[in-house]
Amino acid sequence: MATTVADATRGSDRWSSIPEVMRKEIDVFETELRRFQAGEVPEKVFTEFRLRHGAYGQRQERVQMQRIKIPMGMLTLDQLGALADISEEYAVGVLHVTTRQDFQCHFIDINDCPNMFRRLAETGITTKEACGNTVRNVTCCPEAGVCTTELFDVVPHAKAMTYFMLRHPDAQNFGRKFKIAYSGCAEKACGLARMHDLGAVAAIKDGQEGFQVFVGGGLGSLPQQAWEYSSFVPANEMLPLAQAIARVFGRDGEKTNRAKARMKFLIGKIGFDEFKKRVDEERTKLPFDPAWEQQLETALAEYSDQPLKAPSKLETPAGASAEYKKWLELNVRPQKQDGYSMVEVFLPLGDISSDQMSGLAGVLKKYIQSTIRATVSQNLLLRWITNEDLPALHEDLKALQIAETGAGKLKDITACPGTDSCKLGISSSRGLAGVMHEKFSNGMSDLADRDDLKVKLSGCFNSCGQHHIADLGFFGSIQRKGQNSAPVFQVVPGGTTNNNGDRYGLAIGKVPAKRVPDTIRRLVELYDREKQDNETFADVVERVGKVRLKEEIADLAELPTMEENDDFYRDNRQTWVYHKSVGVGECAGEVVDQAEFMLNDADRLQFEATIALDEGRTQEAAQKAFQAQMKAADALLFTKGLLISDKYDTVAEFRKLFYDTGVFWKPFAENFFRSAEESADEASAAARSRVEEATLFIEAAQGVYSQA
Amino acid sequence: MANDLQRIDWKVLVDTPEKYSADPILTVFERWRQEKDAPSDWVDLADYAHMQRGPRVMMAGKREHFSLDTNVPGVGLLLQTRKGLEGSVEERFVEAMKRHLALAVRLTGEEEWPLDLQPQGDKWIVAINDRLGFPNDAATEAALKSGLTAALDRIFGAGGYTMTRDEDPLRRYGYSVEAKTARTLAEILGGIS
Repeated sequence: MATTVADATRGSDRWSSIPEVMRKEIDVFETELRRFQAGEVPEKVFTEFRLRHGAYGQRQERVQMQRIKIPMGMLTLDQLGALADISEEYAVGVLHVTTRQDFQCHFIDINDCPNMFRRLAETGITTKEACGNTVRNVTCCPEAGVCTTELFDVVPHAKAMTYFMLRHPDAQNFGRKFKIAYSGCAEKACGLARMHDLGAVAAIKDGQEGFQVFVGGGLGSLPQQAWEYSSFVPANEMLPLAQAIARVFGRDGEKTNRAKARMKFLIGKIGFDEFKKRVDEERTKLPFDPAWEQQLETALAEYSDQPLKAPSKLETPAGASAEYKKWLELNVRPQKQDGYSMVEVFLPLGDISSDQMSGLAGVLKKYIQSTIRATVSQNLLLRWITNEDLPALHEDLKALQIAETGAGKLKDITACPGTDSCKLGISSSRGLAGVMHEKFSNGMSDLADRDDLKVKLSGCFNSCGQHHIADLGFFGSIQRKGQNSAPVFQVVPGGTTNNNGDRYGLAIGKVPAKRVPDTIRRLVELYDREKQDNETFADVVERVGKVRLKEEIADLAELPTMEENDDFYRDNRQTWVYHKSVGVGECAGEVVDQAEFMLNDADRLQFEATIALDEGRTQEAAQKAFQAQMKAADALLFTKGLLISDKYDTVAEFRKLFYDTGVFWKPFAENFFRSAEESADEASAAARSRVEEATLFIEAAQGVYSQA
Repeated sequence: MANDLQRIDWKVLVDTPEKYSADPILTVFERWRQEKDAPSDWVDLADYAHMQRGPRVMMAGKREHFSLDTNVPGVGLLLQTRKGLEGSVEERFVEAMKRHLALAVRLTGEEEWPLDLQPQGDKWIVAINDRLGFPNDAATEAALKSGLTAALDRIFGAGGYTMTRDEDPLRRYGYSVEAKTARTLAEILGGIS
C-alpha cells in the first residue's frame, strides 16, 4: 500500500465550511451514484438525477461533461481559483465558458464528481440544476452595475430570482428546461432577454423599478421570439410571477414529446391570451411566501461591487506599444463610473486553460476587489479597473497569453461544442471556429476587428451556438453525394443580437464545411457593397432579399465529388474521412415524472436509514425511515395535483386521499400514522421495526403509483 | 476521501522552433484512438490548437491522458495518470514514468512526428495532480519525498539529477527535475532499474 496522507489528518473536517444544504445534496449525489452503480436506481432516473447536478453524458462513452452554474456569470477570485484547480485535476486542464455564462469541463470520470462538487461548494458554487428539466443558470448583462446605458443595476434582482427558483418545489416537474435572463437596458445585446422562457428587461414606471417581461422565447430547431407578457412588472412582483409561470409550465407543459416541451410550444398550443390567463389565475392562488421579499432584500443587502482602488485618469503612457494601444482600443471600455474601465478578456472558442485561469485569479488580486463576469459571448469581463492600472494589467494578461485583441469583434466567434463532445453534433463547429480563428490572423485579418458583424456556429440545428441571432449564422448538417457524405453548414444570415435579440435569421442553403470561410468573406463583401447609410447586415439582408444572397454564394455551395476533391469529405481540423454519428442528446434529460423522483428519493432515505441502523444510530435510523415514508406519501399526493409549495399537511392529506378511500393498504398506512405521532425516543427504541415498516410503505406506494 | 496516490503528472520539455504545427500529431492520435485494447483505455482525442496555452492536442483516456502540453514552463509531452497505479510511492512514480516514456517513444517514432520538435530528455516536471489528497505542504513532502527520490534514483541514477520544488502552496506539489546527462527517451526507458 502506498504511503498516503491519512484522512484523519486532513479529511474529516475538510467540508465543514460548506453550507448544510449543499453538503447534504452532494452526499445524496454520492449515495445515488453508488446505488446506481449497484443496480439499485433505474438508469432513466439516475440520468435525469445526475443532469440536475450538471453531470452530462458526452458523445464519448464513459466520460462526463460537467456544467458548472455561475449565476449572472459572477465569479469571485476564490471561485476562479477553484475552477482552475478542479479542471486541472479532474478534467483535461481546460475550462469552457458557455453562452449562458456557465463553465464546462470535459472528460470527467463521474466518480470524481462528489469531491469536485465539494471543492466548488467550498467557494459557494453549486452545480445543482445546471442541466436537466430545471430552471437553468439565470443569466444577466455582464456589464450590469457599470454599464453606461442601463436603467438600473439588475444583478440583485437576477440573484434573488436565482436563489428563489433554485431547488424550488414548483420547478421540479417540467417537461423541459426553463431559461431566465435579465437585461439592464432594451437596446444592447448583453442579456438577450427576448430569446428566453422568461426574459426581464429593466423598466421604470412612475419612479418605481420593474421589468418589461417576455415569456416563451427560445432558439432551438424552431426559434421563437418571446411574447411580451407585460410592459411593466414591479420588481417585487417578479418572484411570485416566476413561480406562477413555473406552476403553469409544470402542470400544462408537454411531458411526452420532448421536441415540443419548451414553454414556447405550450404558448403556441393554447395561445398567449390563455397562457397569460392561467398564469394570472395561478398567481392569485399562490399562498404568500415570505421568500418573495426576503430573497430580494438579502440580494440587495449582500450585493457589493466595489473598486479596489481610487478612480484615475485614462492616459496612454508615453512610448506605449502599438500592441497596447490596439488592446486599449478593442478590449477596454469605460464604465459609467468615471475613472474606471471594463476589460474584456478574449477567449478563443470560449476556452481558457487551468493554468491561465489560476494565473488570472492571482494577478487580479492587484486590480479588483470583488467579482468578474463570464459573458454570454464566451469571454471574461474584468470590471472596476482603475484607469492607471491598465498598462500593468495588459502586461500581466500578456504574460498569461490572454491579452489577444478582438473581444466582441468579428473574430470573436461563438461556437457550441459540436462533434467534439456533443452527442447531437453533426458537423465540427469548434473545428470550423478554430480554422476561422487561424484565418483571422492569416488570410482574413482585414476582417478580424470589425465590430458591425457577428458570426455564430452550431454543430446541428439545435442552436446551442445561437446561430439564429448572428449576422452570419451557420449550423451543421450533412450532404450526400454518390456513396459519400460530407459535412456542410446551413447558412443562416440576418439575425441580430441587437434589442435583446429581436430578429432571427433564416436558412438560405448549405455550403460545404470547408467553404464556410469563403462564404463569410463573400457575404461581408456583399454587405459592404450594398449597405446604405447606417443599415445593419440584417437590414441589408431584408432589403436585398434572400434570393440575392443565395445567388451570391451559389458557386460556393457546389459540393465536389469525393473523386474530385476528397478534402471536402473531411471536417474542419480533422484529418480523417467524415462519417455522421449522432446519438441521443441529454440537453433536456429524460422526462422523469416528479413522483418517480420522489419515490426514488424515498428509497434513498430508506437506504440511509438502514445504514444508520447498522451503525447503531437508532434515532437517526427511525427519523430517516419516517422521512422516507413522508417522501413516498408526498409522491402519491403529487399525482393528485398537490404541490409541496402549497405547504399542505402530508399525513392528513394522505389519510384523506389514500387511506379513507382504500387505495393504500391500510396496515402499512396505519404504521405511518403511528410513526407520525410517536416521540423520538419511542421511535428510536423501535428503530428496526420502523426501518422495516418504511420498506413496506415505499413498496406499497410504488404499487399504487404504478397503477395510477 | 480517496487519499490514494493515483494522479501523477510527468512532463518532458520539448524544444520547438518559434512557429510549429502540432497538426501531424492529430493524425497519429486519430489512429491511436481506434485501438480498442490500449492499456491507456483511450476515450478520444481532443484538439485545442486555438489555445496559446493548454493541452494543444491530447489523447484523453480512462487510465491516463497524454498530450502535447504548452502550459508553463513550456512545451512538453505530458502524461497524467488517473488510475491503476499500485505498490509503494516509489513504484508508482516509476510506473507513471514508464507509461509516459512508452507513449512518448512511440509517438516520436511515428512517421508524422514533426522532427523540429525535440524532446529534452534531461528536463522534466513531476507533479501530483491531486490537491485534495496531496496539497503542496510539509505533510505531503514528508509522505512522498523519499519515494520520489528513490524513483528518480532508478530513472536517472543516484546523484544523476537535481530537483527543485515548486513551493507555491496554491500550485500542485511537484518538482522540476534536471538530469545531469542528456539521454534520449528510449535510453531513459531502457535504463530504468
